Amino acid sequence: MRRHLLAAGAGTRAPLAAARPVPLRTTGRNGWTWNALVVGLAAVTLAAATIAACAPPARADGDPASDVLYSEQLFLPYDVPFPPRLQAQLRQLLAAGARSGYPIRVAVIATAYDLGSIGELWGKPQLYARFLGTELSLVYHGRLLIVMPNGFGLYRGGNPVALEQRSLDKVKIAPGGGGLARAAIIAVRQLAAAAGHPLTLPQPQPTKVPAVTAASHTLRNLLVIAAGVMLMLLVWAISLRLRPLRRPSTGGREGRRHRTRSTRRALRLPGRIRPVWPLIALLGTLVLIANVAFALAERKTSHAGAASAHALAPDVTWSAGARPAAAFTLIDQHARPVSVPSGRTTILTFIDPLCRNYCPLEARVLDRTINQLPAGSRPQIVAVSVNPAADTRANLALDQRKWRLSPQWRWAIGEPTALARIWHTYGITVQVVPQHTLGITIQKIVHTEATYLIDRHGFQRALYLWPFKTAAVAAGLRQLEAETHGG
Amino acid sequence: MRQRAICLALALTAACLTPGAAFAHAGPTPPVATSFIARIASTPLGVQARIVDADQQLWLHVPPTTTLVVLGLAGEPYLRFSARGVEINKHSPATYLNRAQPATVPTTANPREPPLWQRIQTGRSYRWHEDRLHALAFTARRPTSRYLGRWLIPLRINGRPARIAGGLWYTPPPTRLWFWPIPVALVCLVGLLRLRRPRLDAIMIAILTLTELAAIIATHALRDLHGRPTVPASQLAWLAASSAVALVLVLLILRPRWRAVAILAIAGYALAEGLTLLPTLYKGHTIGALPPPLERLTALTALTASAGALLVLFAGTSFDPKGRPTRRSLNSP
Repeated sequence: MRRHLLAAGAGTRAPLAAARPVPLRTTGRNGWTWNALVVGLAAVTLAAATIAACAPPARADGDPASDVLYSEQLFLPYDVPFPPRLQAQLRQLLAAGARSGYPIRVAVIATAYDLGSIGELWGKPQLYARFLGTELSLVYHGRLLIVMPNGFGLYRGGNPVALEQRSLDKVKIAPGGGGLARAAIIAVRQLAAAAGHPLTLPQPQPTKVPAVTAASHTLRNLLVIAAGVMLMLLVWAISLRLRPLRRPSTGGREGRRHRTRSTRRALRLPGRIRPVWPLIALLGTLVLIANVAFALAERKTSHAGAASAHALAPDVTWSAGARPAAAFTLIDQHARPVSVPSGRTTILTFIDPLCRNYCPLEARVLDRTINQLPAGSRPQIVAVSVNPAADTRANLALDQRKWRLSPQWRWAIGEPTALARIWHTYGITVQVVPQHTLGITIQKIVHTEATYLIDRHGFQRALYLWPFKTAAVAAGLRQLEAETHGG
Repeated sequence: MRQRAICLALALTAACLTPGAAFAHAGPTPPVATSFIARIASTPLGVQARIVDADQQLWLHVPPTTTLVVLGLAGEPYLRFSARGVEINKHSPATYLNRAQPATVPTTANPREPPLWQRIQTGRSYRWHEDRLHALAFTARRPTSRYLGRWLIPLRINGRPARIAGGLWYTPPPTRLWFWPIPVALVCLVGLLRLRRPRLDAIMIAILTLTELAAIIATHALRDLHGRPTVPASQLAWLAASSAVALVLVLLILRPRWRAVAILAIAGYALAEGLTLLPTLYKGHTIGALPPPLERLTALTALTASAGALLVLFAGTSFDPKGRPTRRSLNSP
């Protein structure tokens, strides 16, 4: 998102550049004059307001399976352990089905949590199959199988599926991730067989498949590189043969023969080897070594995926005492008051409790950040809800458990109007987009994902826009900590 | 030497006259490759929407009876399609931010102000750079997944809320082996050049020049025949003009006096075209009329042949008054 802002944020680019050099340090150092200070602070404040106000919102989705099944064949919940060999077997089975003319996409739903904001469809696999199938219908029209602990759901672009559905009635679903995966495998095979596409159960090779692919890619790369090296060697061999590197000083064939002979003698080379061949061999070896290194580097970077390099610096920083954090008091998940500022260092973030994609990732990053710090100096995390409709105690407790949130994590919930005022104050855009599918309404929340660092004196010190890294926030916190101890 | 400098200047001037500069209204230059693809999942009834340039621009066509307002980043009116044509709200910050090269937001641009509409098009279709399509491009992505997330463009159609929704996908980069033929070819050329055989040099120059011409025509075809979202007559005209330039260069090669000029001009032109297409060699999704492997091959050919031709021309070959390549020593001072 930061890259996007830099690329897209017009007014943001220049002010942001101006804002970055402002370090996390106390006011008055470096001999700033008051005028410069006031102008600088105004610029920084304007930059932050512009960035936060114009930050493109992150999407918090109500139905996690639809996100994955848009492009993949299998949705497995992230938080339920599935035996790797069964996962691999199921993936291979689906791939084999697609190859043999029986494409099918499968969503395994282990708990109500996996349904995001449509928890009311928990335990209703057939209804959820219709719902998800409708959601995917602009991208995918084929068969869709839902596996829930209490049964299967099937959808095929609105076509009748009762017959296929009945064939699954006898498939037993054992509890746990393994049971669900096994049931999915049996169901897919039964459905495929009934449609005239019997699928053999693939041998579980959970780890070997990617290794083989990577090895074959490396082999291919090496072959291409070797072909290039051979071509270069061939051309240079011909070239050196036709015109050796050093011409004999005495000119003529006789002189050259004499020189070659004396070189051979001096270097104690066997009679048939000419001095140019060691040079060619050396060149070839060097090129080969360079290219093996290249191929290995290629392999390594291909495994690195799209982990783009995010800068570790915050998007905006403020000097101490420059920008007071807007004060508010809400209640936390235990119905206790939670206030900002609170007299201690605070990480203030904005989260949708029903989000199942970016919010949990951001929460984990923040949690990991404070877990890196000594127990005594960990700041509190205040997560202001951006989805008042989801602020039930059950949802918050579920998130606390599923996201493995630390005790320092405090939700901040309250009346929608109070929340809206806080969002506005901190430049957080929240859009509620209702979506109606099969008579079910999902409130899709679109919101800016931003995190502020607030020091113990109640001043905003840094703003991080998602995605940010643990190291970035930790560096900001350490800086604040150092200031505290340094007086 | 003076002649060569003139030739190089001519070549670079010719290379600058590419569609990239011609279609600058959508951004500095239309991209030739990207790592991200946006796809539309749902569109309101009657409205036609297309993604242009993978994840960069959105094109809308609205029926005459419909008034459609595209909402900006803060939910304010941003673009309006109506009977008057297409208008843009000068009070919307998105007018200044939602661009390939964003502008500074003026103080008068306040999303809470009533819209100040300015007509930008008389028709019912319009395409614009839309940041929301690729807003998720740099967010975290699960290693096994290529799906990044959804995007949403809020609308109001005849006053009613609506939206265009879709998803954003990541395309991994191609293998870096695509760059490997360039050093191989250059090393081989140096090996052949040091032989100082005018006839061999002439053959090399001929092969490289023909390859360059093929690459130039292919690069123009893949860019000019690519629709954004359709292929307008101007693009076809540009393709015709480029082909005419290539033909003139071929004719110049046949005239001994102009042979060196033409060869150098073609090399410079092909090099510029190759550099323009360079992103196709390291980004996953190519944007053009040809399939990705062909586009990469075109870029590779243009780069390799032009670099090789320039190497041959500047490292060793010169032309006699009859346009035949003569040799100078590689080792001569």
